[in-house]
Amino acid sequence: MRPCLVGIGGAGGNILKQFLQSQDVNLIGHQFGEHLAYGEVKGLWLESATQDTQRQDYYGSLAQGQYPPYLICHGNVGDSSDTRKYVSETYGFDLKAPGFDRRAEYLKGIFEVFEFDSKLKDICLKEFKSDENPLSGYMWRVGVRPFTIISIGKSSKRTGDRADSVLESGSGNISSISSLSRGLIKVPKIRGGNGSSSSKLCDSILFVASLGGGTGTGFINPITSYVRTEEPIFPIFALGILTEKGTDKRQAKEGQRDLGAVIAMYDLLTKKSGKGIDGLILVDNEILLQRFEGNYSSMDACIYSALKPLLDLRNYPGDQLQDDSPAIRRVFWEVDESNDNDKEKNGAQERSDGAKENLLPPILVPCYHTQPDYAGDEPELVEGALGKPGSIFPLGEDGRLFPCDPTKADRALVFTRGFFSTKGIKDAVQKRTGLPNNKIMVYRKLGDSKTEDMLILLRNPYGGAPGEHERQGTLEWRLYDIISESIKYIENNEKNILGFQSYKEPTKDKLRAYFYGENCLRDELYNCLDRLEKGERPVFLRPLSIFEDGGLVPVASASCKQETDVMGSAGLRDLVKEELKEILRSEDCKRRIKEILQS
Amino acid sequence: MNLLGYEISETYLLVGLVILLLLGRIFHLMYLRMIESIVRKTADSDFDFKDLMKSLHISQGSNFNLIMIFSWSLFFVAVAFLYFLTPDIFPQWNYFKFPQVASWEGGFAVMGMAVLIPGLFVSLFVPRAYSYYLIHRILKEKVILIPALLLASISCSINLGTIYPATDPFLWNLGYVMVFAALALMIAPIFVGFLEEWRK
Repeated sequence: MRPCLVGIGGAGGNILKQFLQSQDVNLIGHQFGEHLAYGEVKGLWLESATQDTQRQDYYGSLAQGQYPPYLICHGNVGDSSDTRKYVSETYGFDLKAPGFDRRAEYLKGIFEVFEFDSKLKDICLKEFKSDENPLSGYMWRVGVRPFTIISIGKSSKRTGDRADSVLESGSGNISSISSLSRGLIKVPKIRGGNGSSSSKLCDSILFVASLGGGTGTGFINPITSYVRTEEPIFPIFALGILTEKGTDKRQAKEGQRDLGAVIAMYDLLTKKSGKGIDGLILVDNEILLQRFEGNYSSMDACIYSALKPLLDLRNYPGDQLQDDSPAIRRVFWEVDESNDNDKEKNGAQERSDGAKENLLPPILVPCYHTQPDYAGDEPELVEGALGKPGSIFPLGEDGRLFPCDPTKADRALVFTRGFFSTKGIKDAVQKRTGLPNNKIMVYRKLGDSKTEDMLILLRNPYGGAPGEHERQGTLEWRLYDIISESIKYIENNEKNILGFQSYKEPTKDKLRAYFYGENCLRDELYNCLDRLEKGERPVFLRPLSIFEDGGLVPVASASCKQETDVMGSAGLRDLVKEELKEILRSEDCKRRIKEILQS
Repeated sequence: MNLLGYEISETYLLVGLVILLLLGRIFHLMYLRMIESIVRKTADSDFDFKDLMKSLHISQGSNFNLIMIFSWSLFFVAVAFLYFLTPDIFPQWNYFKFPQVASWEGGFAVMGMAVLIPGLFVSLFVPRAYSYYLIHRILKEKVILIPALLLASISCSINLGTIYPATDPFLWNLGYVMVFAALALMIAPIFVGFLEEWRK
């Protein structure tokens, strides 16, 4: 697979640096041809804090055509933008906020108002023509999309049209936006937008972000939603790094960061197949912290090394296509054959009325081990990655990068670099995890001659037995810990959560309803704890939103009403009809139809 | 000729360069065969050698490729200048056999181009071999030295051609050592790759 790596926020940018290290000769900063990173991946850093981009010299501005690039998320929103003014005056959110102070709900709120406030949509469309959301639309269209094969696909013309319309935008900031966009829109053409070098474009997206911050956690879903409007099955993965315990460098308390992480994981893992990401790879910084004694560069380097077997392009002869991104995506979503005794697989649940709920994205835990090629064979590598049988605590002594019990995984994707037989790998993994052969996927790369390594992605390694949340070293235990901390933070910090800076009263009401209302986040987190105690999965089930009803009038529990997932085909038909009627009635739709007719 | 305190004929030294080149070729072929043998033992199904070559292929980067193409081109020029610029080594075949060119101020450049053009043809194909090796970044950074060594060697040879019929054995020796070092560096990725496989 050749993903486009999108590092979001400070931590995302630091980790991405490792992945984008040049594999080429350094000619005093000059690069003939394309920048070469390991696995020929491409990448960019999305950041909201302009000052952070100025304090470093690794990334260059995408606006100036530099590579590796950074992109300021709100780069196309002018200081006097009408949209910005409306959002600020109505909700108290600042679209050009230089960071989000570890508040996942802030960014979640910003994106939701664009989704649900029809008046804002109109203002935004008027100002930005092509985008209903000036942040995510901009990041996708100008930042990520040009690096992916989608840029040469069926929808490239549509995007070209969008880009043109941005250039023709009649906003008050036309000069800055136009000049910026012109420079940026060149990028896809330079990097193969003409289709001549499509093989070098990325076949998937891998977001890299810290869970627990503001920027990193908040941008993944909105960008994914944009991608999904063009390509519902384009592979999108996310690598989320859970922050360490205790107070961090920025004095953000554990509870606050845990709440950010829980909101982020919650939102990522409750978007159904085709609407959100295809898998969340979890890394626990607490484990890396213990292993590297707080050396953050080494911790970042470890994450990079662990993913190298996944990115390596030197497949065994005849195996070239087995690990392309669509194939990996397929395995991530793969569901077992129906079995009456086992009605719960990979987030697919059968309800009491017999209707099936859509699949939810899986959690993947990376386990990595490397050793000199003379040090042993497959069993040693597997043991190095997954730990010795029965030993799951203390953490950091084996290759698991997130607490889990490997025997609970429902699939294992094994990526190796070295010379191994498939059978040897399968036997070793089967012995350690107890998984049947058909649930162990092996992807062999030729690797180098000095060392051999193995990355095992364990899919959903949790659930199945009650009380596991009390057993140290399990995934249930770690999730239980951060969810409990989040609940504590919600309960003890109402003023801190709702009284943030310039929130307007309607926003406070919505946030109050989201955090403290009936059937809202706090209640749902208690339900999550129940599920963890009982050993049920998935942990996160019910999508929650802050502004779902769209109005400015405060509504308590209604804003968190459960999505109607379970319905027969007749119900679905009615729902689609209603939705279509709603769309056709909207001003935006009428205006668009008018434009089409005029053109 | 006195090289490092030993009396060694220049012709033998040229043979040394040729042997090094041949060793590079032999190591490369042996490396591929060793890999093939290991992969065959562990592969799930039969495969063609071409498939293996395809699987082994890895991009080394535009800068690296450019340096290697440039280096191999310069290598042929440096050897030609070292051995064929003055009549000291091969009196029958040398630059001074063409008095019109030799007495012209752009004569060295003409000779350089005359070697460079066929050399470039070879240079376009030889560096492809590197795409089958995982070259460590430290070794990759060292290849920047190769053009510098070769250019320095060419400078020594030009100096010898300019002062001819006077001679300077030190300059010739220095020029040779630099060509040899450059060739060793050019072959190093192949040699290292071979050693790592052979060690198994």
